Amino acid sequence: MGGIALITLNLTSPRFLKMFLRIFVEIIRGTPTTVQLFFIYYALPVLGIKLDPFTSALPALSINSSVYQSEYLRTTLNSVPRTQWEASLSLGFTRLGSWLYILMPQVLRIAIPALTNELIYITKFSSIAYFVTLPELVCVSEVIGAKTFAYTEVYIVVACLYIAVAFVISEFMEYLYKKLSIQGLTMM
Amino acid sequence: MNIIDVVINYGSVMVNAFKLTLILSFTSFPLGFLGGDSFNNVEPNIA
Repeated sequence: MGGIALITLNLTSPRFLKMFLRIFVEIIRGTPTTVQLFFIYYALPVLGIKLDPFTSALPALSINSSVYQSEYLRTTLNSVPRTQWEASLSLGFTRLGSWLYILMPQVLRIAIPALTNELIYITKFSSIAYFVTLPELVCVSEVIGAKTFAYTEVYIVVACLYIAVAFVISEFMEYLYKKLSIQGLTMM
Repeated sequence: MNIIDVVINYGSVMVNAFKLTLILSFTSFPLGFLGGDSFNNVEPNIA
């Protein structure tokens, strides 16, 4: 719902707000995820906002991913013929209606492979939450490795778990892509 | 200690950590998606 509200804001936003969003995208895209995570976890408490490891990692990963996803969507939007937009407006759709009912279904369909990449990336990037002491897979495996000195075995298991997740995501998104594809419109 | 021992002895701990990893990534992705959608400039260039 927050996204829908923000889309409305963006659709009706003046030029300076769009410029602000553009600067925001460049800042997030230009800084490492680790720096963003450390900023949220270590720098925000100075401003009086104290977050625990999970609530720090979640916005860090979400904001970082949102910027990349916005770029994927922007690229795929360019692949939709602009006549779709013009036709929907001429049929009496509002700008929001045109986006939600005409362009967005087409854009999402095309963006599925790129979004698959992003979902796999974010699963792997979740390991950086280890830096802020969140007991996720890599953190726990480090502890087990330190206890048993069986680093090789532990990290083989961890790698297998990550591969399994990536494989399931990849297969599911491939299924979704095929299911949603329109015959004759896609190359594959 | 081999891989089987690791899985038997620390399997439950790793599964809990694995769940946390999945929760983190599968929550971050839709949140990012909503955010990414909103950053998107949805006004095509109509000449």
